[in-house]
Amino acid sequence: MSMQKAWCGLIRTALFASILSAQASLAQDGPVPGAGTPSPTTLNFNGVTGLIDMPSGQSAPDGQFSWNTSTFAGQTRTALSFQITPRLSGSFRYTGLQNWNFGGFATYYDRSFDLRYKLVDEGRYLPSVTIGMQDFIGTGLFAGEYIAATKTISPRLRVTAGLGWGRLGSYNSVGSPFGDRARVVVGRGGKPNTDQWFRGPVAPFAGVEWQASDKLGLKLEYSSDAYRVESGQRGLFDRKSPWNFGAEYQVTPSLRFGAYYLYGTEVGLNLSIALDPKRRPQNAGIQGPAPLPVKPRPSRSAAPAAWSTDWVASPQLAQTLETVIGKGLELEGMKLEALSLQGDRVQVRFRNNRFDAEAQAMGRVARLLTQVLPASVEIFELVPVFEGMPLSRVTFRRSDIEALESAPNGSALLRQRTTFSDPGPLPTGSRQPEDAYPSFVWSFLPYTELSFFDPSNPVRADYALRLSGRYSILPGLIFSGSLTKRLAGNIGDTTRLSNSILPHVRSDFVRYNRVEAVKIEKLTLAWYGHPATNIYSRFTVGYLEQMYGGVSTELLWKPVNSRLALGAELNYVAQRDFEQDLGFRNYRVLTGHASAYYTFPKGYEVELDVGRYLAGDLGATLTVDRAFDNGWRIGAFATLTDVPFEDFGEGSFDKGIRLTIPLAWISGQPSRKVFGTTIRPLTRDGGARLRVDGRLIGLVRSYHSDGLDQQWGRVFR
Amino acid sequence: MGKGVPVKVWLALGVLLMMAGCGNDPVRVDSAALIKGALQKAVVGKSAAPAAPPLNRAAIDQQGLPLTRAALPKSGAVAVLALIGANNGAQTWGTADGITLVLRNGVALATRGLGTDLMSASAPSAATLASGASHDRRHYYLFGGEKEIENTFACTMSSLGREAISIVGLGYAVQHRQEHCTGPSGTFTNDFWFDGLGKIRQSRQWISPPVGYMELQDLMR
Repeated sequence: MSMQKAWCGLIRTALFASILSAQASLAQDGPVPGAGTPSPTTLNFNGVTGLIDMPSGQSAPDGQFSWNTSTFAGQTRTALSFQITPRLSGSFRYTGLQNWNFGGFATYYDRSFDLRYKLVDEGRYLPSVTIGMQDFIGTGLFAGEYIAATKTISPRLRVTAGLGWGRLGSYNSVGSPFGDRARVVVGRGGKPNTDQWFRGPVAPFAGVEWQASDKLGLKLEYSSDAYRVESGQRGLFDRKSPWNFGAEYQVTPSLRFGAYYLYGTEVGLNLSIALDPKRRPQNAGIQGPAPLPVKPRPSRSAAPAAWSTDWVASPQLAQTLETVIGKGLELEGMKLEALSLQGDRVQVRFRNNRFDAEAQAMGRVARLLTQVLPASVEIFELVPVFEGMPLSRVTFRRSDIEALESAPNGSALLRQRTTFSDPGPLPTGSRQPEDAYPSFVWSFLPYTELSFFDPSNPVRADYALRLSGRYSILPGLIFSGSLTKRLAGNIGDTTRLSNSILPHVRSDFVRYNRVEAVKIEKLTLAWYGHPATNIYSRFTVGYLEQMYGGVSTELLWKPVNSRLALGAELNYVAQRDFEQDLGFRNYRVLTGHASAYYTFPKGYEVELDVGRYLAGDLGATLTVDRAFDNGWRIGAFATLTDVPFEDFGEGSFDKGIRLTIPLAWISGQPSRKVFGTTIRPLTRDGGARLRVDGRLIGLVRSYHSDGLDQQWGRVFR
Repeated sequence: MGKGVPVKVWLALGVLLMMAGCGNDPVRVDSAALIKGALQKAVVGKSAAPAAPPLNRAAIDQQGLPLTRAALPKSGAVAVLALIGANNGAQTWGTADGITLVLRNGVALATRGLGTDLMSASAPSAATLASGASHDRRHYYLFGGEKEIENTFACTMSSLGREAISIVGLGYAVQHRQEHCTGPSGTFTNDFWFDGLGKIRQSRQWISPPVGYMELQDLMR
């Protein structure tokens, strides 16, 4: 029965994983590594670069994001790993232990974090050397540290040797060079176990990886993990031998499957999906129809009449241009918001509903303008508008567009001649198409909501329908709402109800998810604005999110060409009824933050929020994201507040990882839709923030230099 | 499966995703269609390339528009492109379904709508190719990121002599020249067939690793 459960767990995970990999594997069928290319690094049972149960000294390719699930001896480990920089990687792992009988659970689920750092790159003689810490901040059940070296002997053959401490130093140790290790205290977790790191007995481990063919890999290792508790105290399996054997099959460049014989008695399985966010699914590329070509102007000497500015006096021509430009934008999935025509310049305010790269949208607007505007118009000012806010002004010279349309590396050359600035106020005399406001959009769609790693199930899902509507009354003034109805699923099935001693500001999520009736997901009136140079504002009132309603206000300072932004948010909210009808519970709170945002080179974005959280606790959140050019974002956050670790409960403080994948990356087709998820090892009540829609930094950044420059190569796409 | 997700729920998920949504919200509704398309592609496999339109000389003459025939041997796609723009000595040719090709007197400078497009290029002129002189090339691509990546090549020419070719009913006496290019990213060989006036009548030119070569024929008299 229990074995069946473990297998079902693996199959379930594999099913979820197959959704992720179906596209990626289809798309990433790139060139097969040639004879001279070293075979790709592979993942071990813990989801880190390694052998079978042991780590290796290599790192994954920079930016690799992987999902790995393994199972043996009643243990199922699921790990998400990310190669944060070329040297640093992090993993979050969720382990299910059957018959562990700890803390009242027959099957105990443990969450742990790893960090690895590659000290030495592989050279002609030097091996690749990595130092790593496993479960360094959790309950310490799997805690171990290691230093491992891996040398590529031939493109298909690698050998690894290493030294392990903690769990990895528990079999045939050779001494304790750095003193005794503090006793493992399986506590609430969340605190760095600094008094254990690299202490206590150390033991060697080693292994060989042989990529026999492009598809088939064989592995052999000598494990230094004695599984003292599992095989000794608890008798979960019989560890008879330190030797492990395995065969792995590379199904697609991103999907790998392995079968193993472990510790002389056990059969194990491993499934890994490794995605490279830096690489576009190769056969797809950037799909979507080509842009209009640029239409050059006749030379001034050949056609002086065409260069006259007399047209400015003609209201009929202005009306015609407004109609034509409006139609042209519509064909490109954009919407004209305002048009200002002068003899030598034009300002176009527009909304991009189609392209995931703003630079691509701008390039298309500019080419459309070359087709229709009189020759005297030399300056194109493009002002992208989102939620009614003008977000930047991108100024092109028409002659640059004409000269660089087909020039080698034309996008980079155009960037040198393009300026970004604050949009400023709407020019006087601007034409605003009558059909732009008010506008109403609606949709009725099924959706899936996933809940990861709750304490009794790695993946839970609900399937539901959502009816959404959005009424834009004036630029920036939006009335919107959505109703949802759950059809099936199990997010609400968990039996673990909140035991929090803090106000239950988040930990009653199960009771919100259990509701079968139609729910008011959100119902808000929002007012966005750009009241002064470099300043953006938001005011939202209504049912803001699943659990809270009230008032939310925000101001953001962000110069167009600045990597730094500063923000302030103040909210007064009441907790909503579990049923998510119009009613409220008795809890009310004033919550808000001061925030600083900075974009470092290579897309590392750092955010610091300091303020008062939903439970009234005071503290700060640090978030670090890596934003890839194509819209992938992977990040981690941690919040420390004045709630003592004991009061917070399991996990000690709020932390998690978040992931965003653009639909355009998956499908290749232009789309602004992104899939995002936040994974918390535990949802508790300390350090919890309001989840209001439309936080300004997320709206503004992609239209400013940090976002536009990241995707500037698309301007001529 | 105990308390796990029942199989019927996974089936329901599939059905729901296949179900088209409704509404007029472009971001949401279009993306539902994209997901559906992507899943179908994953299940059914790649859609077959559309059949090539039949070509005959009378139809081409009747058009009165400059036309070029393009084929992608790797995908099997064939299309006829019409001249839709001219700027700075380069000509933009387009298909009805939104693929464009920029040529400078028959030498490919850029493509759009083919997936991994040739975004821009520093390519030799037709005259340089006809002269047999060695030259360099720079090709620019958007591979994984969103900035143009440069691939450089050093190229030499060779002549394969005189040949007779036929393009939709018209025969040409042409000079067949090959361009051999080598760079850090790989090698390719382009073929050009020049008529007596030095015009490129037919060619086979490298576009990008995923797209491969493109075969071109000038359909004008």
